[in-house]
Amino acid sequence: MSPVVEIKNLSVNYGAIKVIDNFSCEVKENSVTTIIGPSGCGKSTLLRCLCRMNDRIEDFKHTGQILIRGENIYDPDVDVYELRRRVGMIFQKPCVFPKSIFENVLFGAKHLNGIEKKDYESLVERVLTEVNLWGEVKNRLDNLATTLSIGQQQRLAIARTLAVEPDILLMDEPTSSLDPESTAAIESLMQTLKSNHTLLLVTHLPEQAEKVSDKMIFCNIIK
Amino acid sequence: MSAAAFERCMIIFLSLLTLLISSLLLIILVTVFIKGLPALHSGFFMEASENFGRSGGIFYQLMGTLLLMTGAVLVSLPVALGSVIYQTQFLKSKSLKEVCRLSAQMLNATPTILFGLVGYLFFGVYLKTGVSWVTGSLILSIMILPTLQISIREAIEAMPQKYKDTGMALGLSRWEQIKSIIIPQCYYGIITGVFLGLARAAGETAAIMFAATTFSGIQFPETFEDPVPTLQTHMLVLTQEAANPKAIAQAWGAGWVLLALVFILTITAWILRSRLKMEAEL
Amino acid sequence: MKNESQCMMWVFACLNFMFLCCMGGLFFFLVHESFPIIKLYGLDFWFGQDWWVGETYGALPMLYGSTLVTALACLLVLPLALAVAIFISEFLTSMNRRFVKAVLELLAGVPGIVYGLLGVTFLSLWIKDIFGLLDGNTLVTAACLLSIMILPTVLTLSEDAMRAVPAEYRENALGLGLSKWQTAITVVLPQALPGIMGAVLLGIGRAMGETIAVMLVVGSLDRIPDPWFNIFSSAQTIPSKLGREAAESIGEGTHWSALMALGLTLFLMVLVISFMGNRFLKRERKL
Repeated sequence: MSPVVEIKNLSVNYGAIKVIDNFSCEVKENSVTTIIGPSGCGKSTLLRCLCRMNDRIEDFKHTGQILIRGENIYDPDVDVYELRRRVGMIFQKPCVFPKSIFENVLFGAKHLNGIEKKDYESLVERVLTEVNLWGEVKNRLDNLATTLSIGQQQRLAIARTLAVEPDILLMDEPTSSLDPESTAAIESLMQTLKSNHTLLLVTHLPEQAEKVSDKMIFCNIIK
Repeated sequence: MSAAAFERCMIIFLSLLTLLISSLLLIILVTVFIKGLPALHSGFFMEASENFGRSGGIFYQLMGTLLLMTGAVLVSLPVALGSVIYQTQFLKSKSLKEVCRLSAQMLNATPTILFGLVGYLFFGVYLKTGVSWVTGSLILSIMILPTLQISIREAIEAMPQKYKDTGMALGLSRWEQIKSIIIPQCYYGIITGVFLGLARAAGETAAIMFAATTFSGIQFPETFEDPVPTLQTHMLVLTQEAANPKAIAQAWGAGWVLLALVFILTITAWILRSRLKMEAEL
Repeated sequence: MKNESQCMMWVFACLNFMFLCCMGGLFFFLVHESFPIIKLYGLDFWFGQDWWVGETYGALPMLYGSTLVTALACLLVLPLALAVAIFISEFLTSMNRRFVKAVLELLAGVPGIVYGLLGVTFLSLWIKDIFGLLDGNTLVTAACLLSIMILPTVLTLSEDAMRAVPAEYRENALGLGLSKWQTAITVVLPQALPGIMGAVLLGIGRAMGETIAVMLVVGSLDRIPDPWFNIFSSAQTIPSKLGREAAESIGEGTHWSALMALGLTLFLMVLVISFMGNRFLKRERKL
C-alpha cells in the first residue's frame, strides 16, 4: 500500500538558520507516527510544513519535496486552503473562540463544507461523540466554550477539526498543557481516530510515544 | 468561486484602495506644489508681502510662525517634563494618576478653537498680554503639552528597571537618580516630543487666529505685546479671496512652505527617535 | 541630599499642578463665561433656531450642522478605513506595513488650513458641478473634507486594534482551512470590534472639533436646511461659527457669552465622545 505522506530530502531554513537538514520518511495510512525529541530540534517546524503553516513566516525557505497522496504540496497549483482542510492541525495550547460550544464546533465547517443549517446539529453531535465529549456537554451546548476545562477544550478543538473532515491529523504536543486524566483521554482517543485518519504526533514524552505509536521517529535524525 | 479565488479578487481590490490612500499624501504634496508654483519665485522666502498679500513674499509670515512654535515649545517643555517625572517617579495614588491620565487625554482631544478663545480670555484679557505673539505662544504651549508628555512618558516607561535599580543600589538620592539616570535615558523622548510639538504648533490656525496674529502692518514684533503675521492666517485670509487668482496662488505658495515645514519637522522627529533610541538601549 | 530631593519634588509637583490646571481652567472659564447667556435664555438657547447678533441667540442650527456633518463624515470614512485596515493588518508584509503607517502619520499631520485650501479650490467646485448647485459650500462638502481628514486616524487605530488580536486565533482558523480573508472577517474583525469602535469615536471627536477646514467650505449659513435632510445646502457647525464670529466680540457682552456657551457645548460633546472612545480602546488592549 503506498504511503499517505512521503517526505523526500526536506531541508528548512529560517533565513540563515538551518532547522531541518535533509530529512526523509514515509507515513502509512491509518497509523499513528510519532516524532519525538527535545525542544528546539525542528519537530514542530516539520509538522507545520505539512500543512504549509510556515508560509506565513517571512524568511522561510525549503528544499526537497513533501508528497501527500502523491501530490507535492508545495506545487504552485495547489489550493493551500483545501490542503489545510484535509490536513488538520491540533495545537499545543487549545484555543477556543469566545463563542458557545455549539458555534465553536461548527466554526470551520460552517464556512467550508457548504453544509446546510438543518444538518448543523447532527454534525455537532457526531464529532463531539467521536471525541468522547458529547455526554459531558450535550445539555450545555449554548454555554461559552471558555467555561470548559482545559482538557475538554482540547477535545473540543479536535472535534472542531474533525468537523471539516480531514484525512490527516497533525498534533503538536497536544497533551503538554493537560492534566494526567485528560492526557490519558486524548491518548486513547488517538487509537480510535486512527481507524479513519492518519495521525502524526509530536511529543517530548517517551512513554506517550511508546503507548500510542505504530512508528517512532527520533528527532536527531531530522537535524 | 472557490475561497482562494475570491480571496485573490479581494486582495487586488484592497491593494488598489490602499495604494490610493497611500498616494493621497503624494497627491496633496504635488497639488499644493503645482498650484503654488506661480508664486514661488526666488524671493518668496525672503521678501515681505505686498499688496495685501497678493504678491511678494512670505518672509515675515514664516518668521511669525517660527516664533510662535519656538515660544510654545520653550514654555511647554519644562511643564511637560516636570509633570511626567512627577507622575512616574513620585506619584503613588492610583486615583490621582488616573486623573492625570484623563486630563492629558482630554487636553489632547479638545477642539483647538476653544484653546484660542479661552486662552485669549485668560492670557490676553486677564493677564493683559493682549493680542500678541506671547499670548499665541502660551496658548500653543498648552495645546502641545500632551504631545510632549506622550513622547517623554514613552521613553521613561521603556527604560529598563535595572537602570533605576542600579542607581538606588549605588545610594543615589531621588533627585540624583532623576538627574543622572532618568532624564538622560529619555533624551530621545524629549527631542522627539519637541519636534512633534513644533510640527503640531506650526500647523495650528484656529488657536492663534484672534489671539496672536495680524494680517498686515507688523513685520517683526518689537515688544512682547505685538501680534505677528503667520503663514497659517496669511493663507486663511487669502483663501477667502477665492476669486482673485493672484491671491490664491500666494495662498498655495504659503501652503507649500507650511506643509514642507510640518513634514520636515515630523520626519526629523522620526529620524532622531530611532537614532537616539538605539543609543539609549546600548 | 534628601532636602534637595524634597525640594525638587515640590518643583515637579508644581509643574504637574500647572498641567492639571490647564484642563480645569479651560472648563472653569467656559462655564463662567457661558453663565450670563444661560441665565438669560435657559434651555431655549439650545432649542432656538435664530441667531441674530444683538437680538437673539439660538444654537440649534449649529448643533444640527455639527451633528450632521460629523455623522456623514463617519459614514463615508468607515467602509474605506475598515477595508484598508484589514488589508494592512492581515495581508501586508511588515516592511510595506511600516511604510503605509508612516504615510498615514504624515497625512494626519497635514494642517487644517491646507485641507481648507484644497476644499475651497477643488472640492467645492466639484460638488457644485456634479450636483448642479448654486454654491458648492455645503454640508456634504464639509463632510467629504472631514472624512479625508479623519481617515488616517481612524485607519491607523483600527489597524492597531486588528493587530492586537492574538496570533493563536488566526492560526487555529487557518489550520482549519479558512482562507486569510475568511479569517480576517470571521475571527479578527469581531475580536477587534471594541478597538474599532474606539477608533471611530476618536475620529468623530476630531471631526467635531475641526474649525478651519470646515469654516471655509460649509457655507456658514445659520439655518437648519429645508428639508432637514438636505445635505446639499449650506449650513453651520459650532467651531465654524466660533471661528467666524469670535473676533467681533471678544471679551465681553452677551454675544461673547453666547459664543462661549456654544464652545462649552462643543467641549462637553467632544469630551464625552473622546472619553468613550478611549475606554473602548483600553478595553480592547486588555485582552
